Amino acid sequence: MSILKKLTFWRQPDFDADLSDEMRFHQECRIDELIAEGLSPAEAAAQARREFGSPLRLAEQTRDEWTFRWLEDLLTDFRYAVRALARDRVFTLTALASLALGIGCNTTIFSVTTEILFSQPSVHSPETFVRFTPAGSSHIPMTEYRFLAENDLFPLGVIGSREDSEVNWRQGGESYRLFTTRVTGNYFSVAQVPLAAGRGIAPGERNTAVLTHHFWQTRLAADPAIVGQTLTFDGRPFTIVGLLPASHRTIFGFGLAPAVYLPADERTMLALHTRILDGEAAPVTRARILSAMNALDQAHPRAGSHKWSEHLQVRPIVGLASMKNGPGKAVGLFFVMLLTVVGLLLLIACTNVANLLLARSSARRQEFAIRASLGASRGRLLRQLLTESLVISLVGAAAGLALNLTLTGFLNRFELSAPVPLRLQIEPDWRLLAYTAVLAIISAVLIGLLPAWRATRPSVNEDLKRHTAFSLRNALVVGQLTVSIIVLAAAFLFGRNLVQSLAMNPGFDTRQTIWANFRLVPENYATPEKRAAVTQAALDALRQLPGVDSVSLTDTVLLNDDTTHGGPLRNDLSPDPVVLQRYWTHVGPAYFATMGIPILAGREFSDADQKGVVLNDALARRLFGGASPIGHTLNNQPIIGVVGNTKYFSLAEDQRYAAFEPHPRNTGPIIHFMIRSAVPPDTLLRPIQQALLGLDGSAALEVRPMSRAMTLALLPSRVGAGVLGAMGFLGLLLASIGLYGVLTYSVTRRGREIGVRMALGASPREVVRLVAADGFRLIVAGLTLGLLAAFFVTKPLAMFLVPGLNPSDPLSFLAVATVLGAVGLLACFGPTRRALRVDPMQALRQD
Amino acid sequence: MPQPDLLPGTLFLLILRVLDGGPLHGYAIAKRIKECSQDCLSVEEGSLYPALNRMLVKGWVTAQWGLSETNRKARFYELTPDGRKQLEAEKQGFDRMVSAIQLVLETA
Repeated sequence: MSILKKLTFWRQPDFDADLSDEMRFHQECRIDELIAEGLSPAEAAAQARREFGSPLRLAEQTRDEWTFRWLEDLLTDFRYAVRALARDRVFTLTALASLALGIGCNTTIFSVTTEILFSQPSVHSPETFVRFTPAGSSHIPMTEYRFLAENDLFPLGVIGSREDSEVNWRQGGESYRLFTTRVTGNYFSVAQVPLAAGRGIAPGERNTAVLTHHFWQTRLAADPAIVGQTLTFDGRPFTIVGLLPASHRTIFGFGLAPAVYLPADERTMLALHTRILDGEAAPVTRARILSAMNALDQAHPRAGSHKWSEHLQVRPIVGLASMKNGPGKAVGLFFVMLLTVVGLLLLIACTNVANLLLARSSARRQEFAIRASLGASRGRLLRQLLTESLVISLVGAAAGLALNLTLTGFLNRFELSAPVPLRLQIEPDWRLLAYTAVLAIISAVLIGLLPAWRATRPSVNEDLKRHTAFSLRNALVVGQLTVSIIVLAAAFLFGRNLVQSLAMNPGFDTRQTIWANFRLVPENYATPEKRAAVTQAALDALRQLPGVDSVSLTDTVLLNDDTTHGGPLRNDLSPDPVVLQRYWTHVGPAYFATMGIPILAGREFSDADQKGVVLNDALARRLFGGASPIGHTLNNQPIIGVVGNTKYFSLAEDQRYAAFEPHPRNTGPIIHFMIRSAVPPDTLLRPIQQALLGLDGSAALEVRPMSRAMTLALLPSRVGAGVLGAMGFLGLLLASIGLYGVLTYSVTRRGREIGVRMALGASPREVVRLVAADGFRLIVAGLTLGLLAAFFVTKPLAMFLVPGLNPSDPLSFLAVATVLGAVGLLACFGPTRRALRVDPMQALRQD
Repeated sequence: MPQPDLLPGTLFLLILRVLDGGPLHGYAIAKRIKECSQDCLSVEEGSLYPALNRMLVKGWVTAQWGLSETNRKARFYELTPDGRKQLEAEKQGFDRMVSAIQLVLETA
């Protein structure tokens, strides 16, 4: 109400005139009265004026009642700040660039983090969904799922889905391998997935499909009449019933981007999600699911290993709780680390700007002295300076936001295709804006408070004690060097990690091996005989290709597929079974020779082998100690060989146990051929493709060298090395700018002193020593502090590094210290040269 | 006779009460307060006009230019219904305060 009235003030143009009329009237009344009391008119007028006091102050106070004083001051401050900054263009641009980089990097990492960790799955009220894993298994068979769904054990519905299923898509005489998510019939209705067109897959349907927007747009030319049309998947026609919107995100998160949703069939293994009552306590949910699992144990006892009700994990699909365990935890920690590092980078940038401001405010001391003597209070000057830093940080934040949009736009276009397609859909939202605003305010305070405080210190003989001001700047530079070392040390670690991962021997050969993923149309190969025939024909065809050393097949590809088994292992030497987790897979003849894995004892499978088992070295030692396992049995299978250890799913994994059995060669429809090439692998890709498609043109085929198929295994190292390397470089750059600035400033301020010394006969060498000593002191202090801090800060990084790379390795620190020291010395070079050029005569004539 | 300071917060109450009798200009308001208090309370110009303007902002009074008793152009302030309500509220508050203070003075 009163605010509205205040706003009408601006519509009273004659406010001042009215007020002075009123004041005059008041005084005239008083004069009349005084005259009536017997004073002369002149005396009365003088007396009335005396009594009235200062009309100016009165006018100002009255006016204040009507206006937003602080707002006016703020506007004045802003105008003044913009003018002052526009005058000092070099300073302003340097400061803006520093902040824009700092804030841009921070918000970009923030955007990626929120997208990957906190984006909402496209289901109705995702907070009422939990994922659960009976018996610690990520997926369970359809029979068990059906029991859970049909016995009313989950009143709000339980849905099953397989996120990383594959399908062969036949289109215009070509076959493509597509990633699909297979879902149970109630999936779309229980999850209430929003659709752009059509409907979801309905219960009981076997031949319907829902397309994702990206697939529809990139592979089907965004055909507007797509719903109702038919596509051929795995040799069967599927009617497209629905189209998902572009913003669709799967219930699994992490940017998983399947091409289509298809109905699950009898053989689909299903991940389970159930809807819970809104606000139901976690223990209640767990108890309910546990009782359902007990019912499942009654109806479908699990053969051999754990019961369904054991090792039950329940976790929400959104929010922090979804990251408590499972894959989310490591990813979450990784992003916490990235955010910390970019936060440090912003700190370096802010220190730089603070340093610049400090230099600037010393130069502006005269201006402040004048304003103070004209009556400006310290608070007023402080506010003025803080406004300037706020303007810098706001413009810097805006530029940072623009950088963010560019970077995230670039990230959105980038798609990770193997082994599962991942795509980011980062869109600017209120979270990004809020985060940017918070960063802007924090930076404004960080860069502005200290210099402003110092600049407006009321002490008169401040100038005499300039050494203190300089040591504050020194402290800032030392702090900056310290933080840079931490960032650099982390960056260097990840760089080494990448190099080491690239060079690391995963235990098998990646340079001369080729992986051909041959996906048949299942309907064309309905019987095991047919599948065995095509497998054998393919092996024969590949073996005849010139340049091929050997060919084998497997059902899990190293570093691309994971498979873990936990059943009991019995051997003929001990009566008690051993239970341990192991990698367990089927491989064809000459598999180990093809993969370049050494055979340590015995032999590997030949074409004739139908049974038998091969152990890796770790499992052989675990079960048999030093003795040779050849000739003994494992689960009643003869052990025929022992092979070298390799990495199985990730390069950073601890050594795992592994057992191999002969490949039955009639499994289809997916066959992974591994080919050892005697020539550069790239020259063989085309012939391999022709040979396999010559057998069946309707198969979906992907052929690539193993060296390129290790994307996922190297991803953390690559991202870490890339991002941190860039951050480390930026940090180094900013810190050296800071060092350069401080030294240059000190030379400028000490120009007179240097001139006097030179006039008194100081040699150039002594001048160099004088200036460089300052720089050295800073560098040494920064290096010492930084190395100490980095030693402790980088310790937790061990979990992201390949084994054998120790974060506390002195080599890393030595390298970082050398680089930073060298850059620091380089930064000293310019100012020192400047000091040598000081002309004694001119220096003495100054001031 | 030394004049006691106005009790803090009572200036609005006094102005409102004086204006309750009808529209007055600023000088008359000050004079009336002085007279009514038998020269005990005097309102300085430096507080009177900012206070009047704040009351304008709050909507308790309105101002109108008119002619004074000496035929000069003067600004007359008049209570609004809001101002009258405010007067009631402040009066009650003040009465309660005074009686409370007196209770303490008499009984303690």
